[in-house]
Amino acid sequence: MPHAPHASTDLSIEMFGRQLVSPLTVASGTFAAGREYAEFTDITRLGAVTTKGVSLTPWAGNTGKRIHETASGLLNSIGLQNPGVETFCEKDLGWLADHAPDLPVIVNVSGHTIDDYVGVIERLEREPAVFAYELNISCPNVDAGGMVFGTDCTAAAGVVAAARAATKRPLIVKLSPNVTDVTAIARAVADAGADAVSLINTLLGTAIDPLTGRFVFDRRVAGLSGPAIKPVALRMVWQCAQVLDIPIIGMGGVTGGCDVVEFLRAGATMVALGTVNFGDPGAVGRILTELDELCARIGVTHVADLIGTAA
Amino acid sequence: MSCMCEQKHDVDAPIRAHVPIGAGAYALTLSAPALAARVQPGQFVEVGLNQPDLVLRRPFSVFDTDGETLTILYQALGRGTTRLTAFRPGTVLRVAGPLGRGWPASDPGARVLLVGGGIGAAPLHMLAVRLSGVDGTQVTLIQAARTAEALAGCDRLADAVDTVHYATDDGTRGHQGLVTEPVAAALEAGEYDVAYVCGPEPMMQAVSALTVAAGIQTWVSMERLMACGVGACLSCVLPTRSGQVRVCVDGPVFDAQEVDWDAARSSRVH
Ligand SMILES: Cc1cc2nc3c(=O)[nH]c(=O)nc-3n(C[C@H](O)[C@H](O)[C@H](O)COP(=O)(O)OP(=O)(O)OC[C@H]3O[C@@H](n4cnc5c(N)ncnc54)[C@H](O)[C@@H]3O)c2cc1C
Ligand SMILES: Cc1cc2nc3c(=O)[nH]c(=O)nc-3n(C[C@H](O)[C@H](O)[C@H](O)COP(=O)(O)O)c2cc1C
Ligand code: FES
Repeated sequence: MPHAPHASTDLSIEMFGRQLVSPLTVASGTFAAGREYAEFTDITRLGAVTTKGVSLTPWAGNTGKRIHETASGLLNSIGLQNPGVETFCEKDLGWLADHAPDLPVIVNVSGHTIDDYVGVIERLEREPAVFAYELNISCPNVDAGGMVFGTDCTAAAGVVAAARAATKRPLIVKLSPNVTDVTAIARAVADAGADAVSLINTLLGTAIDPLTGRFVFDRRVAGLSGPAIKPVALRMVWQCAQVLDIPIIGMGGVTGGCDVVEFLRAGATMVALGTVNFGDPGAVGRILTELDELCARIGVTHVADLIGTAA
Repeated sequence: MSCMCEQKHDVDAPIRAHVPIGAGAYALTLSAPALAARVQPGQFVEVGLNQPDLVLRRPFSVFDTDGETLTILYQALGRGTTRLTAFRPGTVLRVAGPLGRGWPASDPGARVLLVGGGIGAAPLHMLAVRLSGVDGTQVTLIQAARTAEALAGCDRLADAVDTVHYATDDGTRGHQGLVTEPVAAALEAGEYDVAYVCGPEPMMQAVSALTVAAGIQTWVSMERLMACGVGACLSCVLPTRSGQVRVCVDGPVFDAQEVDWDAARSSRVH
C-alpha cells in the first residue's frame, strides 16, 4: 500500500543558537570538504558539513595499505593526511564559499600537541565561514596527540581548556570509544568548556593476513567504522546523553533513515554520515528522504521532537 | 580537475549480459547510457554489489562501450567478485562513473606499444579501438597471462591492433616466460613513440623500466585499495616524484617516470 501523502516533516534543528536545515552532517574524513560529493548529492541539504581533519602544518599520513574491508565494516589507517590549515583555508574554504556559501562549516581540528590545536584555531578565527570547531582528540591512527588526549580525562580537559581560551565559537569535542567509561571523558570535556560532543570516532582494531602472518597495516592497528560499530556507538551516545546537558552529534555505522532516528532517540541532536558515503555517494539525499518518510510514519511533524525519546 | 564536461553519475545499471570468459574471468555488460556516453579509454567505474556486509563498492576499468552499455572484464577473486559471478541479467547494480583520468591520446601516426598482463589488459581495449580509427597509427600489443585460456578473454583486444605477441607462464601460447622478454625483443626490432602498460605492479615497473630506457613516453595504470573512488578519503594515495597523489582522481593513469616505484611498494594491492 502506498504511503498516504503527507505534509513533509520539518527537518530543521537548532544547534548553537542557529537554525540548521537538517540534523545531518558528515563524519570527518569521509567527505573531504564536500566538493567531491557535490556531483552526486545536494550537499546544501546538510545541516552542516564537517571537514577532514586539519593540522597546523602538512601531514603526510601513514605508509602502507590504508583501508581493509571487514564484515559490515571498514578498517582505516589514513593517519590524518592533510595539506595543513593554510592550504585548507585557500582551497577547501574557498571552494565552499563559492559553491555553498550558506552551508555551515564544522572544521575538524587535529594536532600532536596542545599548541598545534590552538594554532589551527587561531588561523581559522580569521575565516568567517567557520561555524564550529570539532577537536579530534580521538584518532587511533597517529602516535603523538590523537587518541592520547582522548583517553585520559586530565589530558582531554587540558586541550579543551586551551582551545576554549582561543575561541568564542562553538567547540565540539570528538570522543573516542576506546575507553572504559565514555561518560567520564564526556563530563571532563564539558566541564572544561566544550559546547557539544561528537561520538564515536573509530574503534581500535587490527587485521592479519592469514597466509603470510603479516599485519595488514604498517602501524599494525587501525580504526573500525561502518555498520559493525553502530550498536556500540548508539549505546555510547545514549550513555552520554544521560550525563550531559550539551548537545551530542551521534555517529557510527549510520546507513539509513532508521539509524538516524535511533541516534536522535538516544539523545543526539545531529547525526553524521561516514562510511556510508563510500558505498553510496548519494547517501545524504537518500537518507534525508528516508528520514522524512519515517517521521511521517511515526507521526512527528518536527524531527527535533524525536531527540531523547528512547524509553 | 573536474569540470562539468566530465560530470560523474551514479545510476541504476541493469545487467544486460554476464558471461564467463575462461580462467575464472567474466564479461559483465551493464546498461548505463549516462556513463557510456562520456567514458574515455582508461577510466573506471565503482560498482555496488548490493551486499549489506560489503561496505565498499568495487572499482573496475571499462573494457568496452557501445554508447549505451558498459562492459567490464573481471577476475573472480575475493568475496565481492565471487558473489558477483552469480548475478543474472536483469539484476540492477548501482554504478558510479566515469571516474579518474584515462590514457592520454597519442599523436596521429604514432607507433604505439600496448603491454597487458592478465585481466590488467582490460583498460587497453577501448584505447586500442580508439587508436585503430586514427590514420597511420601502428599498434603493437604484447599480451601476457598465466595460460592460453587466460589470454582468450582478451581476444577482442588482439582484434583491434595491428600486431600481437603473446607470453604465457606455462608456454601454452606464445613466448614462455616473463613479458619483459618479448617487450625487450620488440624494442630491439622496432621503434616506438609511446607505450601504454597495464597489469600487476611488478610487471608494470619492469616493463616501464625497459620502455623508459628506450626513450619511449610510457603510461601505466595503477591500482590501489579505494574506499570512495572519488577523491574524498585518501585511501588510494600513491607516492610520486611530485608528492602523494590520489589514484582515483589524479590517475589511475600516470607517467611511469612520475611514479616512485620503490616507495609505492608498501601500499601495493598484491
Ligand atoms: C582503477 C582500478 C581498476 C580496476 N580494474 C579492474 C578490471 O578491469 N578487472 C578486474 O578484474 N579487476 C580490476 N581491478 C581490481 C578490482 O577492483 C578487484 O579485483 C576487486 O575489487 C576485488 O574485489 P573482491 O570483492 O573480489 O575482493 P575482496 O578481497 O573481498 O575485496 C576487499 C576490498 O579490497 C579491494 N580490492 C581487492 N583487490 C583489489 C585490487 N586488485 N585492486 C583494488 N582494490 C582491490 C576491494 O575493492 C574491496 O574494497 C581494478 C582496480 C582498480 C583500482
Ligand atoms: C577513511 C576515514 C577517515 C577518517 N578521518 C577522520 C578524521 O580526519 N578526523 C576524525 O575526527 N575522524 C575521522 N574518521 C572517523 C569518522 O569521522 C567517524 O567518527 C567514524 O568513521 C564512525 O562513523 P561511520 O561508521 O559512519 O564511518 C575517519 C573515518 C574514516 C572511515
Ligand atoms: S579512493 Fe578515496 S581518495 Fe581515492
